[in-house]
Amino acid sequence: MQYFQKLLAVLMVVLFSSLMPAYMSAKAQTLRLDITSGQVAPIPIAIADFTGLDGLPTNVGRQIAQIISDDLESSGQFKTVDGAAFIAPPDSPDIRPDFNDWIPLGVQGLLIGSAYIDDGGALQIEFVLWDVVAQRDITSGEGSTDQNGMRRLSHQIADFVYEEFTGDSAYFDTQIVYVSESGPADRRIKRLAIMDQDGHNHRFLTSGYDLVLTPRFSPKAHEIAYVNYFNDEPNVYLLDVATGRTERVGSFPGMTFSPRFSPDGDALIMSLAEDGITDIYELDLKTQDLSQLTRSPSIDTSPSYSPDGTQLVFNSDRGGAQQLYVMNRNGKGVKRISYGEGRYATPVWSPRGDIIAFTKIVRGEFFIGVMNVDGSGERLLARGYLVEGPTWAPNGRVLMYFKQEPREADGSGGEVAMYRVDITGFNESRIITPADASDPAWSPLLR
Amino acid sequence: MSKINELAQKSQQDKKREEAANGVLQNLAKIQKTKEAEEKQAQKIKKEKAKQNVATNLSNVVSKVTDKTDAKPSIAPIGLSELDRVRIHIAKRWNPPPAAAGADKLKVDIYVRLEPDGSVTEASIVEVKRYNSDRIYRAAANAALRAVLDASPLPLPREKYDQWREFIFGFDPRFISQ
Repeated sequence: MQYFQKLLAVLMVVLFSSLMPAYMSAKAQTLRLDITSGQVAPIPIAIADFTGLDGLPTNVGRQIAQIISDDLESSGQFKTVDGAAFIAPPDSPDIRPDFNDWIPLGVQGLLIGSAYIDDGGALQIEFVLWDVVAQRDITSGEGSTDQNGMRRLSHQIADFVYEEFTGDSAYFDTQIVYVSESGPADRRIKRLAIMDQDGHNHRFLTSGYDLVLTPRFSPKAHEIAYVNYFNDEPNVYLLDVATGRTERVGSFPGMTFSPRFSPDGDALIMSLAEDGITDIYELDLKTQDLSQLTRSPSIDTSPSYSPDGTQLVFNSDRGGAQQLYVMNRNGKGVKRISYGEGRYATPVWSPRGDIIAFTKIVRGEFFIGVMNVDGSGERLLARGYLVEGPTWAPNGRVLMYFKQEPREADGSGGEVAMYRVDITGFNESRIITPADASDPAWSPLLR
Repeated sequence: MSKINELAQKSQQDKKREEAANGVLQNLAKIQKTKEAEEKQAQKIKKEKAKQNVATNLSNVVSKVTDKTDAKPSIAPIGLSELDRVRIHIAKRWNPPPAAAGADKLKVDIYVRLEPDGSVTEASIVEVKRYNSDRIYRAAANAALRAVLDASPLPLPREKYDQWREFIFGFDPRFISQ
C-alpha cells in the first residue's frame, strides 16, 4: 500500500511538471496541448468577379470568376459563396481587402483579381489569394494571353487556389480524350475527340471513317496512342495532337491493342494477339525493339504501368475467371492480386502509386472500384448496368469512367456518357458531351 | 507589396504585353509566395490586435525565454478539464486539408501567446523551413493557424493566467484517415 502511494506521488510530479510549470518552478513556461480531432468539410471560399481598370467587373472577369468557381466546386473540396452575398465587392487585387466585410460570410479564402483587354488586344490578368482568417495573402500572380487562352489561364488560377488550400497537386488545367459515338448500333461511328476537363473547347481528332478505341495520352500530352480498325483489323496507332497526323505503330503479325505509354514516354505497352493467344509486349519507341513480357496460353491484356515505371498491372484469365495480376516490368514475379467474386478488368495504377482502379463484373452488374496494390482494401465507388474504363485525374483524387443505362427492357438503347467521382465515392457528376461518349483518358497537368 | 516587387511587376507587364501581342499563351509567369505578414502590416491597416501579430518567423518563438513571475500557491494548477475545453474549442474550428490523409508526419506545431482574456496576440508556425519548402505542410500549417485565430479568445480561467500565457498547440491530422 505504501509502495502504491509512493508511486502515485511520483506520477503526480511527472504530470504536474508538464502541466503546471508555473506552480512547480515559479516560472511561466509554454504549455503543450495536442489537437487530435477536427472537421472534414469543404473549404468555404469567395471568388470575386475580376475587375477592370475602373474597378468594376469586366465581362471577361465575370467569366473567369465563374470558371474558377466551377472548377473548385466540382472537386467537392470547396464551397463557393454566391457573389450576391458580398458586402462590398473588391475593386482591385492591388488593394488590401477590408476583412470585416468577409469574415461574416464565414469564408476562409478570398480570391480577388483584375482582367481586362489591353490596347494591343491581349488579356491581362492579375490575382491575389487571401487567407481571410489569418488576414494575409497566400499567393498571387499575373499573366497575359491572347483571348483564346482565357479559359486555360482561369483553370491555372483555380489550380493555384486548389493547391494552396488542399496541399495536393491540382488537375483543372487538363484535357480529356475520349471516343465520341453516334449512329445506330449496327453502323456505329466512333471518333476520337478531345476537350478541356470541364467539357469546353471540344474538337474531333479523327474523321470517323475508321472505328477507334481506347485512346491514351503520352506523359506530355502531345501524342495519343489508340486502337484503329483498318480493314476490320485492330492495330495500335499514334496521333500527334497538334498536327492531327496519325501513324501505325510497327508492323506485327496478328492484332495489337490496349496501348499505354510508359511514365517516361519512351515505351508503349500493349497486347498482341495471334492464333487465339494474347500476350503483353513492350515496344521501345526509339529502337522499335519489341519484348514479350507474358507467355501464357491465356488472354493477358489491359496492362498499366506503376507511376515509377518498375511494375505493371494487367488482367488475365489464366486462373479461370478474369483477374488482376501485378508483375515486374521485365515480366518476372507475376502475382495475382484480386480474389473477389466475379471478374476484374481494365486495371489502372493511380498516379500516386498507392491504389489501382478497375472495372468489376459480378452477376451481370458492373462496378468501378479501387484496391490497394497488394489486392487488399477493395472499395466499390460506382455501379451501373454498364460502367467501365476508369481513368485517373493526374493527382489521383478523382476518377472518370463511362456509363450506359439501358432504355429498353432487353438492355439495349440508352445513352453512353462519361462521369467522374472522387475516390471517397462522393460527388459523382456527368460530363456533358455533344454525343455519346466512352473510353475517356485524362491528360497529365498541361502546365 | 514592396516597391521592388512593384517595379519588377511593371517591367514584367511590359514584357508580357509584347509577348501577348504575338498571341502566345503564357503561363502565369510570376507566382509570388509572399508569406510574410510583415509586408502587409507595413500597409498600416488597423486590425484587431489578435490577428495583427500573425507571423511565420521564428524570432518570437526563440526569444520566449521563460518569464519570472510570482508564484501564487493559493491558486490551483490548471487542470485537464480546463485544457480539454480549449482542445474542443479549437477542434471545432480546425479543418485540416484532405492531403493530410495518409500523411504520417504532418503534425503542425503553432506557438501562441495569449492575453489575460484568452485572446491570441501572437500565433506562429514553429517549423518555418518546412513551411517554406513543403506544400502539403504549408496547407496543413495554414489550416492550423486559421483554427487558432478563429478560436480566439480561448476559454481559459483568468486567475490562472500566469500558467497559460504561452502555448504550443500540436495539430495532429491522423484522425482523417482513421
